[in-house]
Amino acid sequence: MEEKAVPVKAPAPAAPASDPARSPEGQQVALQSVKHMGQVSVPAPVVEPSFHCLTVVGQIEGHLILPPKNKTTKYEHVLPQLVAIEQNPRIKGTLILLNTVGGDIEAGLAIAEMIATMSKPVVSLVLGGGHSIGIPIAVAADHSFIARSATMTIHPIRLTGMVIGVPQTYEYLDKMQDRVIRFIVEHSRITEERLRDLMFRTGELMRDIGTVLVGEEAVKAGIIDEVGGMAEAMRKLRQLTEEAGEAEDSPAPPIPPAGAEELGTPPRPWAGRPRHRRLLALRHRWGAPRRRGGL
Amino acid sequence: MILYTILPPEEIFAEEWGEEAAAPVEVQVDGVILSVSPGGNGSARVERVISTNPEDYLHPFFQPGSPVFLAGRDP
Repeated sequence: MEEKAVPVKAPAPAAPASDPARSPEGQQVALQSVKHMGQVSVPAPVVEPSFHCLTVVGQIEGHLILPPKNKTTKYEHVLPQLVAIEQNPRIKGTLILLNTVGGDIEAGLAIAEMIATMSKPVVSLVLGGGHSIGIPIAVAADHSFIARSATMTIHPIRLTGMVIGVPQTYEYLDKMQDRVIRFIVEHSRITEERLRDLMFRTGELMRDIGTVLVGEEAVKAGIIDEVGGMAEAMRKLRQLTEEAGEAEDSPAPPIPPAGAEELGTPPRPWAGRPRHRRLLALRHRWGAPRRRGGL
Repeated sequence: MILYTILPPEEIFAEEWGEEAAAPVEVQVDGVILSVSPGGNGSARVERVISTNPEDYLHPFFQPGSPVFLAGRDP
Protein backbone atom coordinates (compact mmCIF):
# COMPACT_ATOMS: atom_id res chain seq x y z
CA MET A 1 0.00 0.00 0.00
CA GLU A 2 1.15 3.42 -0.90
CA GLU A 3 2.14 5.67 1.87
CA LYS A 4 -0.14 8.58 2.31
CA ALA A 5 0.35 11.81 4.09
CA VAL A 6 -1.72 11.59 7.22
CA PRO A 7 -3.00 14.90 8.48
CA VAL A 8 -1.24 15.56 11.71
CA LYS A 9 -3.18 17.18 14.47
CA ALA A 10 -1.90 20.61 15.24
CA PRO A 11 -0.04 20.57 18.54
CA ALA A 12 -2.16 21.64 21.47
CA PRO A 13 -1.79 25.35 21.95
CA ALA A 14 0.48 26.17 24.82
CA ALA A 15 -0.71 28.24 27.71
CA PRO A 16 -1.19 31.79 26.50
CA ALA A 17 1.90 33.85 27.12
CA SER A 18 -0.24 36.61 28.53
CA ASP A 19 -1.27 34.42 31.48
CA PRO A 20 1.03 35.78 34.16
CA ALA A 21 0.25 33.17 36.80
CA ARG A 22 1.64 30.38 34.58
CA SER A 23 5.17 31.76 34.33
CA PRO A 24 7.72 31.17 37.11
CA GLU A 25 7.75 34.88 37.94
CA GLY A 26 4.00 34.88 38.07
CA GLN A 27 4.01 31.96 40.48
CA GLN A 28 6.47 33.80 42.66
CA VAL A 29 4.16 36.77 42.73
CA ALA A 30 1.23 34.50 43.50
CA LEU A 31 3.17 32.90 46.36
CA GLN A 32 4.01 36.31 47.73
CA SER A 33 0.38 37.26 47.62
CA VAL A 34 -0.47 34.10 49.59
CA LYS A 35 2.14 35.03 52.19
CA HIS A 36 1.03 38.58 52.54
CA MET A 37 -2.64 38.55 51.89
CA GLY A 38 -3.69 34.97 52.61
CA GLN A 39 -5.24 35.08 49.17
CA VAL A 40 -4.23 33.85 45.79
CA SER A 41 -5.68 34.36 42.38
CA VAL A 42 -6.00 30.93 40.89
CA PRO A 43 -4.85 30.77 37.26
CA ALA A 44 -7.71 29.75 35.06
CA PRO A 45 -7.12 26.28 33.65
CA VAL A 46 -6.43 26.20 29.92
CA VAL A 47 -9.33 23.83 29.33
CA GLU A 48 -12.10 23.82 31.87
CA PRO A 49 -13.15 20.27 32.65
CA SER A 50 -16.57 19.45 31.30
CA PHE A 51 -17.24 16.89 34.01
CA HIS A 52 -17.32 17.66 37.67
CA CYS A 53 -16.87 15.10 40.38
CA LEU A 54 -18.70 14.92 43.69
CA THR A 55 -17.16 12.74 46.35
CA VAL A 56 -19.34 11.36 49.10
CA VAL A 57 -16.94 10.08 51.73
CA GLY A 58 -17.06 9.07 55.36
CA GLN A 59 -20.31 9.82 57.08
CA ILE A 60 -23.20 11.66 55.55
CA GLU A 61 -23.97 14.31 58.05
CA GLY A 62 -27.12 16.16 58.75
CA HIS A 63 -27.42 17.31 62.31
CA LEU A 64 -25.02 15.10 64.22
CA ILE A 65 -22.15 16.91 65.81
CA LEU A 66 -19.11 14.83 65.01
CA PRO A 67 -15.55 15.12 66.27
CA PRO A 68 -13.50 17.36 63.96
CA LYS A 69 -11.30 14.51 62.81
CA ASN A 70 -14.20 12.55 61.35
CA LYS A 71 -14.49 12.48 57.59
CA THR A 72 -17.86 13.83 56.68
CA THR A 73 -19.86 14.80 53.67
CA LYS A 74 -21.84 17.80 54.74
CA TYR A 75 -24.96 18.68 52.92
CA GLU A 76 -24.39 22.41 53.22
CA HIS A 77 -21.35 21.79 51.00
CA VAL A 78 -22.92 19.33 48.62
CA LEU A 79 -26.28 20.96 47.88
CA PRO A 80 -24.92 24.36 46.71
CA GLN A 81 -22.31 22.57 44.61
CA LEU A 82 -25.02 20.58 42.89
CA VAL A 83 -26.91 23.80 42.19
CA ALA A 84 -23.72 25.33 40.76
CA ILE A 85 -23.19 22.30 38.51
CA GLU A 86 -26.78 22.47 37.30
CA GLN A 87 -26.46 26.15 36.46
CA ASN A 88 -23.01 26.27 34.88
CA PRO A 89 -23.44 25.78 31.12
CA ARG A 90 -19.82 24.65 30.72
CA ILE A 91 -20.30 21.65 32.99
CA LYS A 92 -21.71 18.80 30.95
CA GLY A 93 -22.07 16.08 33.53
CA THR A 94 -21.20 14.84 36.99
CA LEU A 95 -19.47 11.78 38.35
CA ILE A 96 -20.37 10.81 41.89
CA LEU A 97 -17.82 8.80 43.81
CA LEU A 98 -19.21 7.00 46.83
CA ASN A 99 -17.27 5.55 49.70
CA THR A 100 -19.55 6.06 52.61
CA VAL A 101 -20.66 4.22 55.71
CA GLY A 102 -24.02 5.95 55.59
CA GLY A 103 -25.31 8.49 57.99
CA ASP A 104 -28.23 10.80 58.44
CA ILE A 105 -31.35 9.75 56.57
CA GLU A 106 -32.75 13.20 55.96
CA ALA A 107 -29.42 14.50 54.65
CA GLY A 108 -28.84 11.40 52.52
CA LEU A 109 -32.29 11.57 50.97
CA ALA A 110 -31.89 15.30 50.35
CA ILE A 111 -28.66 14.71 48.40
CA ALA A 112 -30.22 11.76 46.57
CA GLU A 113 -33.28 13.80 45.54
CA MET A 114 -31.07 16.63 44.31
CA ILE A 115 -29.03 14.21 42.19
CA ALA A 116 -32.11 12.45 40.83
CA THR A 117 -33.73 15.69 39.72
CA MET A 118 -30.68 17.15 37.99
CA SER A 119 -31.11 17.73 34.28
CA LYS A 120 -27.47 16.96 33.45
CA PRO A 121 -26.19 13.40 33.12
CA VAL A 122 -25.01 11.90 36.40
CA VAL A 123 -23.08 8.65 36.78
CA SER A 124 -22.30 7.16 40.17
CA LEU A 125 -19.47 4.83 41.09
CA VAL A 126 -19.45 2.93 44.37
CA LEU A 127 -15.92 2.31 45.61
CA GLY A 128 -15.11 0.53 48.81
CA GLY A 129 -18.50 0.89 50.39
CA GLY A 130 -21.84 2.46 49.75
CA HIS A 131 -23.73 1.45 52.81
CA SER A 132 -27.18 2.20 54.18
CA ILE A 133 -28.17 5.73 53.12
CA GLY A 134 -25.40 5.63 50.49
CA ILE A 135 -27.68 3.31 48.48
CA PRO A 136 -30.28 5.98 47.59
CA ILE A 137 -27.45 8.29 46.52
CA ALA A 138 -25.93 5.58 44.32
CA VAL A 139 -29.23 4.73 42.62
CA ALA A 140 -30.22 8.39 42.18
CA ALA A 141 -27.76 8.75 39.29
CA ASP A 142 -28.79 8.12 35.68
CA HIS A 143 -26.44 5.16 35.60
CA SER A 144 -24.72 3.47 38.52
CA PHE A 145 -21.52 1.46 38.70
CA ILE A 146 -19.97 -0.57 41.47
CA ALA A 147 -16.35 -1.63 41.74
CA ARG A 148 -15.88 -5.39 41.83
CA SER A 149 -14.55 -5.24 45.38
CA ALA A 150 -17.00 -2.69 46.73
CA THR A 151 -19.77 -3.57 49.17
CA MET A 152 -23.20 -2.27 49.98
CA THR A 153 -24.97 -3.01 53.24
CA ILE A 154 -28.74 -2.97 53.20
CA HIS A 155 -30.27 -2.76 56.64
CA PRO A 156 -33.27 -1.21 58.33
CA ILE A 157 -33.16 2.25 59.88
CA ARG A 158 -31.72 2.39 63.34
CA LEU A 159 -31.56 5.06 65.92
CA THR A 160 -28.69 6.01 68.10
CA GLY A 161 -29.11 8.08 71.19
CA MET A 162 -32.29 8.74 73.06
CA VAL A 163 -35.39 6.94 71.90
CA ILE A 164 -38.74 7.92 73.27
CA GLY A 165 -40.53 4.66 73.69
CA VAL A 166 -44.02 5.42 72.52
CA PRO A 167 -45.85 3.63 69.70
CA GLN A 168 -45.71 6.82 67.63
CA THR A 169 -41.92 6.58 67.56
CA TYR A 170 -42.14 3.21 65.90
CA GLU A 171 -44.67 4.46 63.37
CA TYR A 172 -42.52 7.48 62.60
CA LEU A 173 -39.52 5.23 61.99
CA ASP A 174 -41.63 2.95 59.84
CA LYS A 175 -42.67 5.88 57.67
CA MET A 176 -39.06 6.96 57.32
CA GLN A 177 -38.17 3.40 56.31
CA ASP A 178 -40.88 3.47 53.64
CA ARG A 179 -39.50 6.71 52.21
CA VAL A 180 -36.06 5.16 51.77
CA ILE A 181 -37.48 1.96 50.26
CA ARG A 182 -39.72 3.88 47.87
CA PHE A 183 -36.81 6.00 46.67
CA ILE A 184 -34.59 2.98 45.98
CA VAL A 185 -37.39 1.08 44.21
CA GLU A 186 -38.27 4.08 42.03
CA HIS A 187 -34.69 4.66 40.95
CA SER A 188 -33.41 1.12 40.41
CA ARG A 189 -34.55 -2.21 38.99
CA ILE A 190 -35.14 -3.91 42.35
CA THR A 191 -38.68 -4.73 43.46
CA GLU A 192 -40.02 -3.67 46.84
CA GLU A 193 -40.50 -7.30 47.96
CA ARG A 194 -36.91 -8.19 47.11
CA LEU A 195 -35.53 -5.10 48.83
CA ARG A 196 -37.51 -5.74 52.00
CA ASP A 197 -36.39 -9.36 51.91
CA LEU A 198 -32.72 -8.27 51.74
CA MET A 199 -33.26 -5.62 54.37
CA PHE A 200 -34.79 -7.84 57.02
CA ARG A 201 -32.77 -10.98 56.39
CA THR A 202 -31.28 -12.59 59.47
CA GLY A 203 -28.02 -14.46 59.67
CA GLU A 204 -25.82 -12.36 57.39
CA LEU A 205 -24.87 -9.57 59.73
CA MET A 206 -23.63 -10.24 63.20
CA ARG A 207 -26.16 -9.14 65.84
CA ASP A 208 -28.16 -7.31 63.20
CA ILE A 209 -30.51 -7.90 60.34
CA GLY A 210 -29.75 -7.05 56.73
CA THR A 211 -27.55 -8.12 53.83
CA VAL A 212 -24.10 -7.30 52.54
CA LEU A 213 -23.86 -7.22 48.75
CA VAL A 214 -20.42 -7.40 47.15
CA GLY A 215 -19.82 -5.95 43.65
CA GLU A 216 -21.63 -8.23 41.23
CA GLU A 217 -24.26 -9.20 43.81
CA ALA A 218 -25.53 -5.61 43.93
CA VAL A 219 -25.96 -5.73 40.15
CA LYS A 220 -27.74 -9.10 40.32
CA ALA A 221 -30.05 -7.77 43.03
CA GLY A 222 -31.00 -4.95 40.65
CA ILE A 223 -29.78 -2.07 42.78
CA ILE A 224 -26.75 -1.11 40.66
CA ASP A 225 -26.71 -1.08 36.87
CA GLU A 226 -23.21 -2.37 36.13
CA VAL A 227 -19.93 -3.58 37.57
CA GLY A 228 -17.17 -1.25 36.48
CA GLY A 229 -14.51 1.25 37.34
CA MET A 230 -13.25 4.65 36.37
CA ALA A 231 -12.96 3.99 32.63
CA GLU A 232 -16.45 2.53 32.32
CA ALA A 233 -17.98 5.32 34.39
CA MET A 234 -16.31 8.05 32.33
CA ARG A 235 -17.24 6.34 29.06
CA LYS A 236 -20.87 6.14 30.16
CA LEU A 237 -20.83 9.76 31.25
CA ARG A 238 -19.48 10.83 27.87
CA GLN A 239 -22.08 8.74 26.10
CA LEU A 240 -24.93 10.18 28.17
CA THR A 241 -23.61 13.69 27.62
CA GLU A 242 -23.43 13.17 23.89
CA GLU A 243 -26.98 11.88 23.81
CA ALA A 244 -28.22 14.79 25.87
CA GLY A 245 -26.29 17.25 23.72
CA GLU A 246 -27.66 15.81 20.47
CA ALA A 247 -31.19 15.94 21.76
CA GLU A 248 -31.14 19.71 22.12
CA ASP A 249 -28.70 20.73 19.42
CA SER A 250 -27.07 18.34 17.00
CA PRO A 251 -23.30 18.85 16.99
CA ALA A 252 -21.12 18.64 13.92
CA PRO A 253 -20.98 15.11 12.56
CA PRO A 254 -17.83 13.17 13.46
CA ILE A 255 -14.96 13.33 11.00
CA PRO A 256 -14.93 10.18 8.86
CA PRO A 257 -11.94 7.92 9.52
CA ALA A 258 -8.92 8.73 7.36
CA GLY A 259 -8.74 6.63 4.22
CA ALA A 260 -12.42 5.76 4.18
CA GLU A 261 -12.93 7.40 0.79
CA GLU A 262 -10.02 5.57 -0.83
CA LEU A 263 -11.61 2.29 0.19
CA GLY A 264 -14.73 3.21 -1.71
CA THR A 265 -17.04 3.65 1.26
CA PRO A 266 -18.62 7.04 1.66
CA PRO A 267 -18.21 8.62 5.06
CA ARG A 268 -21.20 7.67 7.14
CA PRO A 269 -21.46 10.03 10.06
CA TRP A 270 -24.68 8.38 11.20
CA ALA A 271 -23.21 4.88 11.29
CA GLY A 272 -23.34 3.28 14.67
CA ARG A 273 -25.88 5.72 15.98
CA PRO A 274 -29.29 4.69 17.22
CA ARG A 275 -31.95 4.88 14.53
CA HIS A 276 -33.66 7.98 15.89
CA ARG A 277 -30.34 9.83 15.83
CA ARG A 278 -29.54 8.99 12.20
CA LEU A 279 -32.05 11.43 10.79
CA LEU A 280 -30.50 14.21 12.82
CA ALA A 281 -27.05 13.36 11.48
CA LEU A 282 -28.33 13.23 7.92
CA ARG A 283 -30.09 16.52 8.21
CA HIS A 284 -26.99 18.11 9.51
CA ARG A 285 -24.90 16.73 6.68
CA TRP A 286 -27.26 17.99 4.00
CA GLY A 287 -27.15 21.38 5.54
CA ALA A 288 -30.85 21.59 6.16
CA PRO A 289 -31.86 24.83 7.83
CA ARG A 290 -32.05 24.21 11.54
CA ARG A 291 -34.80 25.37 13.80
CA ARG A 292 -36.95 27.03 11.20
CA GLY A 293 -40.47 27.73 12.32
CA GLY A 294 -42.72 24.74 12.50
CA LEU A 295 -40.10 22.04 12.68
CA MET B 1 -8.28 -4.61 71.94
CA ILE B 2 -6.08 -4.61 68.85
CA LEU B 3 -6.44 -1.91 66.25
CA TYR B 4 -5.39 -2.74 62.73
CA THR B 5 -5.05 0.64 61.11
CA ILE B 6 -2.69 2.89 59.24
CA LEU B 7 -3.81 5.93 61.21
CA PRO B 8 -1.21 7.33 63.61
CA PRO B 9 -2.04 6.65 67.27
CA GLU B 10 -2.10 10.34 68.17
CA GLU B 11 -4.95 10.77 65.77
CA ILE B 12 -6.97 7.90 67.17
CA PHE B 13 -6.30 8.64 70.84
CA ALA B 14 -6.39 12.42 70.49
CA GLU B 15 -9.04 12.75 73.18
CA GLU B 16 -7.40 10.34 75.59
CA TRP B 17 -4.00 11.96 75.17
CA GLY B 18 -5.47 15.38 75.68
CA GLU B 19 -3.98 16.93 72.60
CA GLU B 20 -7.10 17.48 70.67
CA ALA B 21 -6.43 19.28 67.42
CA ALA B 22 -8.14 22.57 66.78
CA ALA B 23 -11.33 22.16 64.82
CA PRO B 24 -10.80 22.80 61.12
CA VAL B 25 -12.19 26.04 59.83
CA GLU B 26 -13.49 26.66 56.37
CA VAL B 27 -12.05 29.44 54.29
CA GLN B 28 -12.76 30.42 50.75
CA VAL B 29 -9.81 31.06 48.47
CA ASP B 30 -10.72 32.24 45.02
CA GLY B 31 -14.11 30.63 45.15
CA VAL B 32 -12.85 27.27 46.42
CA ILE B 33 -13.77 26.16 49.92
CA LEU B 34 -10.76 24.85 51.84
CA SER B 35 -10.95 23.12 55.18
CA VAL B 36 -7.87 24.31 57.08
CA SER B 37 -6.57 23.59 60.56
CA PRO B 38 -5.36 26.75 62.27
CA GLY B 39 -1.94 26.55 63.87
CA GLY B 40 -1.73 29.91 65.63
CA ASN B 41 -0.20 33.21 64.49
CA GLY B 42 -2.68 33.39 61.66
CA SER B 43 -1.11 30.39 59.95
CA ALA B 44 -3.01 27.30 58.95
CA ARG B 45 -2.60 24.14 56.93
CA VAL B 46 -4.85 22.84 54.22
CA GLU B 47 -6.69 19.73 55.39
CA ARG B 48 -9.13 19.20 52.60
CA VAL B 49 -10.43 20.77 49.42
CA ILE B 50 -14.19 20.93 49.18
CA SER B 51 -15.00 21.29 45.52
CA THR B 52 -16.56 19.39 42.66
CA ASN B 53 -14.10 20.78 40.12
CA PRO B 54 -11.39 18.14 39.63
CA GLU B 55 -8.91 20.86 38.57
CA ASP B 56 -9.01 22.38 42.05
CA TYR B 57 -7.46 19.22 43.48
CA LEU B 58 -4.46 19.59 41.18
CA HIS B 59 -3.77 23.17 42.22
CA PRO B 60 -0.33 23.39 43.87
CA PHE B 61 -1.49 25.76 46.62
CA PHE B 62 -4.40 23.57 47.64
CA GLN B 63 -2.44 20.39 48.35
CA PRO B 64 -3.13 18.99 51.84
CA GLY B 65 -0.48 20.28 54.22
CA SER B 66 0.20 23.47 52.26
CA PRO B 67 0.42 26.54 54.44
CA VAL B 68 -2.30 29.16 54.30
CA PHE B 69 -2.13 32.48 56.07
CA LEU B 70 -5.39 33.67 57.44
CA ALA B 71 -5.65 37.39 57.07
CA GLY B 72 -7.78 39.31 59.51
CA ARG B 73 -7.96 36.56 62.08
CA ASP B 74 -6.72 36.75 65.62
CA PRO B 75 -3.68 34.56 66.22
